[in-house]
Amino acid sequence: MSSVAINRPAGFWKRLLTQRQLVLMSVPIVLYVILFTYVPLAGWTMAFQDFKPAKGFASPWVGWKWFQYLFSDDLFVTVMRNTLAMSFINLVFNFTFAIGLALLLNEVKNKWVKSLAQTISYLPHFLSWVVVAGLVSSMLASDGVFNVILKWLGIIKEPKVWLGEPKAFWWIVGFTNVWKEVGWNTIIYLAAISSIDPALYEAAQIDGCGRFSRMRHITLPGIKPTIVVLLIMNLGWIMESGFEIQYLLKNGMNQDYAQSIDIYVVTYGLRNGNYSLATAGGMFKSVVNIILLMTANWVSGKLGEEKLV
Amino acid sequence: MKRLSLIAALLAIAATMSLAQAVDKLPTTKLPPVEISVFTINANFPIPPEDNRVYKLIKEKLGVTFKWDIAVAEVDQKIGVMIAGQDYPDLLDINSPKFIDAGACMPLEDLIEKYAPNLKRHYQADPITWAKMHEKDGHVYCLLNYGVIENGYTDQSYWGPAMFIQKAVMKEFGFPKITTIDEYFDIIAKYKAKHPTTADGKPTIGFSILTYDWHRFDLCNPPPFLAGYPNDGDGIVDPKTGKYRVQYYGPEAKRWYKILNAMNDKGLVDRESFVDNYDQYLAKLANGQVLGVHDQYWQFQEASKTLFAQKRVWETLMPLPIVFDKSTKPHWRDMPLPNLQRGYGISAKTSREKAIRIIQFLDAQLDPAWQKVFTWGFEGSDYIIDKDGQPVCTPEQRTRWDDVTWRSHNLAELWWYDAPKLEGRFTKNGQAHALRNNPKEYQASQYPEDVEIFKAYGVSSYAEMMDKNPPPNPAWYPAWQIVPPDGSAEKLAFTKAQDTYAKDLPKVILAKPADFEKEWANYVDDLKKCNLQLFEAYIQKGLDERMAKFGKLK
Repeated sequence: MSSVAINRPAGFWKRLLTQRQLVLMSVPIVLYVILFTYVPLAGWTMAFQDFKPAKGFASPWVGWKWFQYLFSDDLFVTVMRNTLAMSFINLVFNFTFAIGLALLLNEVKNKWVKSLAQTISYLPHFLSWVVVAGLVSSMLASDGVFNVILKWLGIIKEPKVWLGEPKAFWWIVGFTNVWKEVGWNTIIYLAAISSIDPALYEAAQIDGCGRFSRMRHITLPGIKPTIVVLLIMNLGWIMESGFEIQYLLKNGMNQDYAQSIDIYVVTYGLRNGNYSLATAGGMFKSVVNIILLMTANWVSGKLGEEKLV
Repeated sequence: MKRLSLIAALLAIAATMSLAQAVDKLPTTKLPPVEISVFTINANFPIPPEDNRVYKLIKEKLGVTFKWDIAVAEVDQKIGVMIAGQDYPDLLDINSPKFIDAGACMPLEDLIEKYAPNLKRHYQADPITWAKMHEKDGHVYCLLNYGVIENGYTDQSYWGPAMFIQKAVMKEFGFPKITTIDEYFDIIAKYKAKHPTTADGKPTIGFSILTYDWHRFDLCNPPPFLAGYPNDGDGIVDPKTGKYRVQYYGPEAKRWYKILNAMNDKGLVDRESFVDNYDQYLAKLANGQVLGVHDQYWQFQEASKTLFAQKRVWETLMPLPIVFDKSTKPHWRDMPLPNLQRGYGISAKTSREKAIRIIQFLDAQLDPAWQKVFTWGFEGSDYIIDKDGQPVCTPEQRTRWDDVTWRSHNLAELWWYDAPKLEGRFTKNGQAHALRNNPKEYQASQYPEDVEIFKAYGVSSYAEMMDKNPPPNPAWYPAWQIVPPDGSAEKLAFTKAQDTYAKDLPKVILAKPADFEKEWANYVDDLKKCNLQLFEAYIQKGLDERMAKFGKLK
């Protein structure tokens, strides 16, 4: 018993010594994470203070005051709803469209056509959100392409100011996200598909499987681990519905559906100088994210699937 | 031909020589050279080109170079980031209590007393102005950029709020006298029916509203003006009792939005103006599409400049002092005010040594000779003195003054705009500080189209058109200068109310006339949830303090 207890640390040091190059190489990364991820957490103390920049961290302590304010604020509830709704729409759209496109691309036999389609589909990923927001807002203007098409199809009679329609906002964000990111998101699935053993397809073909059955019974199960891992990772981001697109497209009329937690934090924290309230909002978001991530990970383990942590 | 070019060459040489002489006469400071970093919210002008003659002179004679940090949009946010990081340049362009409340600024009264005789004379000439420049803690932090007038007010252009109308509309109907809001919309409707598109085929817009970001005050400012109250911004002060109330949901407001709602039903209101940003708003004005707006001239002067440069003067807008009823006396134009909490302050992080150097520079540039460089340019090359001793421009010089490119190379507009400056006259009954406020040059610089309008209405300027003799300002005026500090419950309540009107007023305006009452009730309900009484109490306290300090209501 005692020898084991003594041997363990010795073994640890010995192993550390043999892996010293690896350890050395990871030092900068660990420092980076500590410096930029853990040190700023000290700023969370602001959430429990009446923070005034002039006084700094010597500002008076107020306990849970700002959290109480947050949860009694109608606006914060609205903002939570918007964040979750847009996030959920993004999550569902991202998965279905990306997997769908990956399956379709995989079926394209002509290599040249396939890579051209793939390149074109992921090009928008490299556009800045400012440019995308400009495109979207001019497309949705009352004399924009969208209205022209709807009118031509006879769906609407009078052009609508789409960015002034609060209820349309979530869907605008959802589809803009799809357009911008779908190509990029397929890359990882295409990589996963390429690692599926071709013998399986051949066997299935001999057994008389058509295209769609092969997709369903070989491709999809083959990339299931990838899908699950990505799903877990994405659930950890469910409180992040994005910031730029909402920020750039929001206006007085649609603000009830456009403001996400991040925008709330920026408006109340930075613009109106209420740093404590902003920190409380941001902190709440992080805590929820961690809980969601852990839960998803645990559920996935229970279901006998991949676990991330 | 040859002789002509010879004369031109001689003239050019003479101009250069007199320029050289004028430059030699400029006061200099024999102090070590310094680079001053400046944060400015003034996004109207680009960073000056290297060869700009005035900045070159400032460097040469006063030993100062600038490092600019221009906030292009989302100003409050940028300031919030600066405050959170406690990272400030030397000079901070103050436009709200943010910097001062955050302790970002250095007290200046002591520096002014010791090192800045010009600034001292300028700001202390009127003891009330000087008293108002002191913040609650008894210090002066901000060197006001506008409204400190010496030897009488001379400005004849109109920068303030008004119901603006396209000049072409007035011309079309033979320059009618229009005083009420009904007449205003009536004439716009008639013109729009007659001219559904502009000359280049773009649809004309009856009435546009600037609603973007902090500019959104245009959405809620008209009602008090239309009811004959002066510019107290978000509220109305009862002239008899001195009692303040937020005007967003008062009877005047309801009347105004009901009118707008009806006008929208007639297709006169631009629905897109509720989703447009500032650039899109300006673009529509610069296209000559917009027939009417409520705005303050300084907010859209860039659009007008674009039209002036294309000689499309009829398509620019002119101000009208519109009211609800003929019996109401308009009070749109007010007497100039010290522009409190607006202008440059020195960062508290700047060393005292450098702060002294900066205040000495600020003092030196306030010298009349330097002020003339900023606003008149140089004698001979930019203006001439005629036989009566009046500054006037030759036609070529005048054209140059309107040329944006020339200005960017030959004027220090970016600096001058928010810097401490002389306004009014150089001496009693003397020449005006602004070149074009001198009577002869003013007359000569007016576009013939404007002269035609002035003649039709028997006035000499748009300022006169708004009000020939505005009444003196009461001591508490204006309420918009009182702003609750960031992070306070009062400020939160106010921000909420602003968000509410930005969200609900478009609905009120765009609703079918039958639904107006419903939408209005909904808007009032939402506003009542914002705790506005906190904000009202704060402003009332500020007004009462002013009345106690500077005298009663009148």
